[in-house]
Amino acid sequence: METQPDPDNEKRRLTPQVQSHLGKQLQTMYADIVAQGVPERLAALIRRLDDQTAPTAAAPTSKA
Amino acid sequence: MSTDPAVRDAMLAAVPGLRAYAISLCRNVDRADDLVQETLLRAWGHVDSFQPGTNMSAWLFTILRNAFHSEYRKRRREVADSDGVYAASLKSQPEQTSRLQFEEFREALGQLPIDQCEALVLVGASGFSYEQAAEICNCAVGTIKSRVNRARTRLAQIMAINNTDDFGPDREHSAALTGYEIR
Repeated sequence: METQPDPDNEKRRLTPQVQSHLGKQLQTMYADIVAQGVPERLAALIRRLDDQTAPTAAAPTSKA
Repeated sequence: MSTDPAVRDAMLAAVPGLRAYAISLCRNVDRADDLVQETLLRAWGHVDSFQPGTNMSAWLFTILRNAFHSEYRKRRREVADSDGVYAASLKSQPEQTSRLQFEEFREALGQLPIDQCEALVLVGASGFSYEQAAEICNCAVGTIKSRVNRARTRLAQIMAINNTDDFGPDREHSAALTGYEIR
């Protein structure tokens, strides 16, 4: 598709259409990463942290 | 000491968004996951400082941002994603042309100054308001707004998007727009 060269284009480069397009690209990129979910490495970390701070229900074991 | 399961679940739920923000900053998936891990460790260690009822996501993003600026920022340029780990992680671009366009955008984003990039991501993708982004970045709302505006303008310049309604140029067309004068 041909467009006429626009000498004022430098100033009007960021049109609402362009801005919208860039916004969608950014959101798509972001959504792609979010769709990957939680890597096992980080899920395991949270589980480990959670286990370490969980209250102990059993009688305390004596460790000499 | 026990931790409220709701806190643990909230942290887990925040991880995907934290990763996306971290990848935007670090431009490398491994470094980003390191940063998120550091963030979770710090958050867990300071969970008492989190005020229930306030925005946990914003709190976590603030911790991540502080960790990035204090430890990871100086290493950002040393660990550019030269082995394509980041690109390989984006599997949902089956079309050749759209993937090229996507990588073009990703590279353009990576060329932004960090302050502009993070402001744009927080407001344009992470779902925070200008006010929340300003709190996360510890600056004035007006500063965030100007950074976002500069980021958008700079992105458009880098990608050489002209005032056209064809937003899916092929590589040849892009090259023609960016490299040659059109008379």
